[in-house]
Amino acid sequence: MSLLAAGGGCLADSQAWICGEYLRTYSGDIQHALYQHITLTALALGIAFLVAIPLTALALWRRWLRASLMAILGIVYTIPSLALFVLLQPVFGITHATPVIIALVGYAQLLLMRNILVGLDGVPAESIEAARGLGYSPGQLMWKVRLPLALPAILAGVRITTVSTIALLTVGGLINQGGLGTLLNQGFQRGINAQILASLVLIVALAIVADLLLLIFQRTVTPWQRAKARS
Amino acid sequence: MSLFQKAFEWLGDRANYRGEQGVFALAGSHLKITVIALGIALVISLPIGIALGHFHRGGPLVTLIANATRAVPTLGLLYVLAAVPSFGVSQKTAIVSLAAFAIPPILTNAWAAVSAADDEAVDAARGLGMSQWQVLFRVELPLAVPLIFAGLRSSTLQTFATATIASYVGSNTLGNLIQLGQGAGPPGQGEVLGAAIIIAVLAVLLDVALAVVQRRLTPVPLRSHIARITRRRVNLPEISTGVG
Repeated sequence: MSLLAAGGGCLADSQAWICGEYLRTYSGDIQHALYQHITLTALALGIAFLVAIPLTALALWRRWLRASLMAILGIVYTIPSLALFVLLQPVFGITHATPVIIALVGYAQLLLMRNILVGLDGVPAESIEAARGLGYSPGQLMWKVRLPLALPAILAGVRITTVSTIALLTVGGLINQGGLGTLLNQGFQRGINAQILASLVLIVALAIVADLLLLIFQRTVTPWQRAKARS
Repeated sequence: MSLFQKAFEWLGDRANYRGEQGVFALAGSHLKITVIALGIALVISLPIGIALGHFHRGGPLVTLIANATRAVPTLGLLYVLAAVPSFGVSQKTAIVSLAAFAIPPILTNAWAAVSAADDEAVDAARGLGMSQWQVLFRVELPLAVPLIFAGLRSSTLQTFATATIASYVGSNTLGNLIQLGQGAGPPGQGEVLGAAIIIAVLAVLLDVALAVVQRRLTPVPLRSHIARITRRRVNLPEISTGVG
């Protein structure tokens, strides 16, 4: 097995793991897969946030709703991804990515909700008392006190959710709906090592870049966290 | 006929359960691979996690391992190993990948559980003149058992899920049924869906069984203590490694 096949011929040698020729020849396919991976992830995360808002409101409204919601999301989370993708296909169609997106939204819910609720639970009772004493309405209390104080935990949840969604979408490649996962799967089926490694590296790099961007965002919107860490 | 009808027809056919590629045989080897991989992961990660936790060392390292592995897709490691000639399309590839992904949850939980053992209890034990080993075995570990088991539980589900896709690198698991059904085109749709139903139901049952054991292992007075530790650890990955 040659790691770096001699210049020019590495595309013919499917055993080569690193191959500039592969990257050049198939740059269109690679870009397409990367673009698809980003859009599918963004779509799944966007829908997941939108769904998480009313679900959180429900969970905060009644204790039993919170317990049952978390139990249901816990069950969804235990279902292996390939099985869930396949199970959603008859409902949402086989030829497009909707089943994969819906499944990713379902998995993301547990991670998002858990962190949002943990963050809100962690708001000190004194802060809430003080705001009430100042005459804050329940709405103001939520938007001006509880949510800002819960923000670090919520954003930590967003980061975890983003990274695991990017990785999880890969399994969608097995049903041809996985962005870079599809490229990875094709690489294995065709026995082109350079394609396997390139897809894997891109998926991991995408997850790291997304995590770093969110970390920068987190630092920007919660400047008090850094001040606290320094003191 | 709707796809779900086809699936239930497939599920209702006894012939699909028998034989080498039947549901029973594949479920058996699926569970066997899961258990072997978990065993390897336990042997590696439990002693390390407990030791690091006992000496309150290596927290950043444990968190780094947990975070880094979350970014790696399970399918990616399976395919890379399968493409390496010394592993190839084999059961070995599946077991090594599965074990690698099972390590982080067990490691993090063991570390967190031991290092978070009630400081007052540890101080009291030292005050009573207990040695390092006695503190570890009589105080820290008993307090840590429920949380360590929680890590094992999420590792188990992760491993069970990943074993499904390990069929694509030559292991006999329930994923075979999905793969075969896919290969058969439209006539295989019932099989694909039926197999997915079996896999999903087994995963949920496995989780329920482990939840019952976890509750049994947690003494009633400790339940709120465990909940508190778990709640404090939002950033740790125990909760985010269920799916594979």
